[in-house]
Amino acid sequence: MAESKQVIVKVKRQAGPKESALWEEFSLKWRPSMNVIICLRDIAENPVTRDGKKTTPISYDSNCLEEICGSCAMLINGRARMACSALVDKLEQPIRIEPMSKFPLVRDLTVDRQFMFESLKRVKAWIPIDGHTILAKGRACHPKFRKKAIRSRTALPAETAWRFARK
Amino acid sequence: MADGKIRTLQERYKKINLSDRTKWSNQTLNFARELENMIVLARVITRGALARNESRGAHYKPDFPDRDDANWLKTTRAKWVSNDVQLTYEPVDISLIKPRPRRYDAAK
Repeated sequence: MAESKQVIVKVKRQAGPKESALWEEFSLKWRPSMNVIICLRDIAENPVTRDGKKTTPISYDSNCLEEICGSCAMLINGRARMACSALVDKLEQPIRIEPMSKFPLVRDLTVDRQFMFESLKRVKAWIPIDGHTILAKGRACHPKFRKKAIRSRTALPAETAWRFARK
Repeated sequence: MADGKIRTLQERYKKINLSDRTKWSNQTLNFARELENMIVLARVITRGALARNESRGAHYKPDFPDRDDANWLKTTRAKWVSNDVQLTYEPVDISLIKPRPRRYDAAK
């Protein structure tokens, strides 16, 4: 009987920010359209290394699993990319998985991305399509005419629109 | 019965083991805690579906392939009472839009 196809994965592990890093190698059963997240889940299901040593499931972040959110970004074969869209069949084996190097490490593949989110907040890197203010289309209004606009029936939308135009 | 199977899982959950017992960033513990509530929700969904003898939207029963507005145009509400699911029903407001069959095989 032919031996079933195996996937060799090497993961850089670190128990905490102050611990030392080490590499663990896993041999997993190949599955059709397998991606790196499936590899990590398979390891969690049976956390045993290639040489039969019992270990812990790998800590990692993931969310949408459809290449949108970026939560599962990690270094795969030395390149920063999302684990959910990294297909095993298109990767060179053994697959080397490391945490992203530019962020403070939490554990294994989990990193603290807080400073990136703070930067996004600082540059307001989003489109305001939802929020607590009325975003309905209102007339943009110069402050010179603002008082008049507030007195008129369109007061609220006009003021809101002006507030947004100023931002 | 499907509910019995989930009840077995609920019993087994009481003896759950952790493959990771470390104290820092333990995602296994996190998941194990979530799992208990997932099993409860699975029972709610299963019991609601078992009671609903019709087909509606994504809920499909081969024995009852048609939508049954006479008996089942109502919202299921579930309550967790002494480790079991208690189902009650709430009428749907149809005062503004009259119910009509959803046809995906014919053009509007």
